[in-house]
Amino acid sequence: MTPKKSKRFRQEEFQPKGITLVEVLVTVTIVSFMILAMLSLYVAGQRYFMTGSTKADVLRDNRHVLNYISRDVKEAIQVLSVWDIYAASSECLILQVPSIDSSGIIIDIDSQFDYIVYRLNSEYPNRLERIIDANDGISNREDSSRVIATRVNSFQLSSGGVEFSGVADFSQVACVDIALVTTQSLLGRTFQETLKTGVKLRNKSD
Amino acid sequence: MEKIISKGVKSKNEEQGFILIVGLVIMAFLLLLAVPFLFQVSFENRLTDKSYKSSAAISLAEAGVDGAIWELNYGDISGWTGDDTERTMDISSFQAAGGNVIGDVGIRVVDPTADHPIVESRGAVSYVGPKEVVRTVRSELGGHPPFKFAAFGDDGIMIDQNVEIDSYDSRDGDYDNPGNVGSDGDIGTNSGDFSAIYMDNSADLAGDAVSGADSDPDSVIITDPGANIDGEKWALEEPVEFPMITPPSLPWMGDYSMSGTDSIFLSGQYGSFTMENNSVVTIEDDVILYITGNFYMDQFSRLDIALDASLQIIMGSGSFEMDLTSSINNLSRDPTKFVLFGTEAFTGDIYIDQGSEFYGAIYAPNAFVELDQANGFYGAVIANDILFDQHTVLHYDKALEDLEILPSMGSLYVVKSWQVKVSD
Repeated sequence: MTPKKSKRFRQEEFQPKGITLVEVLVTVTIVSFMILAMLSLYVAGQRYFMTGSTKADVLRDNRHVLNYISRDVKEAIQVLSVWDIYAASSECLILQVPSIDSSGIIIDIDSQFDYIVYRLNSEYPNRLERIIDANDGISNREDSSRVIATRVNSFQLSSGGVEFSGVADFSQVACVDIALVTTQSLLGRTFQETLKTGVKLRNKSD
Repeated sequence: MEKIISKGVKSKNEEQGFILIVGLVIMAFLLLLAVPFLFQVSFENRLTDKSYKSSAAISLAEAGVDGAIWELNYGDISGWTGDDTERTMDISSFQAAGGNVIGDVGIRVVDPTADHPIVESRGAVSYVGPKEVVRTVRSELGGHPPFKFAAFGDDGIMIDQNVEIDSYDSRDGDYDNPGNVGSDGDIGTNSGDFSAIYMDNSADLAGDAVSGADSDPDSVIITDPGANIDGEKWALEEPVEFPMITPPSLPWMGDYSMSGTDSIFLSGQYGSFTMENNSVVTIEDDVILYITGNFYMDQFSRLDIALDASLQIIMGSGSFEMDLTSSINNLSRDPTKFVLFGTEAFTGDIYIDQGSEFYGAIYAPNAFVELDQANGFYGAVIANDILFDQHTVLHYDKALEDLEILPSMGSLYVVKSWQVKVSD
């Protein structure tokens, strides 16, 4: 028993106590480098992510707006050159659409109509408006005017390669080509995205 | 030796787990950084996924409507579930060309044998768990509306001197009503031949002149220096199709010959139809006369269409002849109330020359039509060849734009109305 006690005593006697200053400094330095590296990676990743995310947002918003317009164009009976105070142009689309009942069903495609106007706001040209002039008392649509897109850089309408401003007879327009360009700024950079679509008037009689 | 051993080899009890704590701290730190990313990515992913699936659902629903229209026109839906009031068909797990499952399609056709059936198609794409993105497209079908032109000659149109063509709308009253005269009296042809449309001296067209698909309008539409076209010359993008008439099944009435006065209330099929001198026949209801042989109106005979009645004459074959002194009087003065049809087999001549105004429309895609109507022809003409004699006046009635050739008379189903219903 004696020799064992003696050995243990000697080991405890030479055991290092705590951590030396050098070890702490080395550890702190290494950890600092690691954190710095991770932070720079994080910041770069965050920036990359935000960029991609913003682009995706802009594209998604554009697509949503185009889907909105496409649905109305598909339901339209015809494109008009003039309605009320609005005149069709490369930045103004006037649609005659069939009125709908409370179930959302078309009432009479030959005689009951609503009118939907898409145009850039004259005061704030980066805002795209959707204006409804409903067939009062008959249609379930209601008169309204609301902004469906902001940060619009350009809203261009054409048909068969001819810009709306050059269309002579809007009653002949059977397909509408829409190009929507929006911009968004982030972290000092400006992102611009363009989406185009062509939509056929499904309710236009041949 | 003991010293060396004690410094170089530590027992398990001497390890203090410091690196484990550092590792855990770093892991926690990394997790803190990563969690917001994960949430953001997940959110974006869900939005994009829903947008994609919404588009896919609409595409499925539209494909369902198109499929149903094809089946109604060229196929057979009698094998679908249901009866003649409603038939349905479901397509589960519809696959794209690459074999990817897109979603389900449910098609419902209401009144499938009627002239105006309703097609509703529901596209459903699975979203999250049991949730689905559903879009429904609803379409009302009808027959082909052929009267888009004042005059359309498949092979061509000859317009003699001093002919006048313009438009009005009988829904807004008579032609003479103030403001009712328009400039939509378009004429057209499917032909691309030189001079297929010819306008002689002093002919006046208040409308467009249209040549065959991909032709040169200046070569096809020739105008004498004294002739005038108010509108434009242009070429069709594709040929105008005119469905051939399929007469309805009607009771056989034999040969009809009248020398006195008669009234007709019922539709029927006749071997021939003859009105002798001074005879007067009045159509008193909505009547269809399907005539497989000759139609003839002798001197001073008169076919009257009562105010609240309508008449469709379907010429199956033979000839259509009217003496110069006979007349067809559409008392309602509504051109949509009298239509003269010619079947595919009717390749004869139709000659209209009466001493009074004529209100009606002619649809005879394989016939030759000659109008000598200085007193006015109110309506529209579709034929293989059309000749306008001198001083003829054609007032195209825009109300005819909505007049359909019903599917039960041979037209294919076409979309009359179309809409997307958002179902979720």
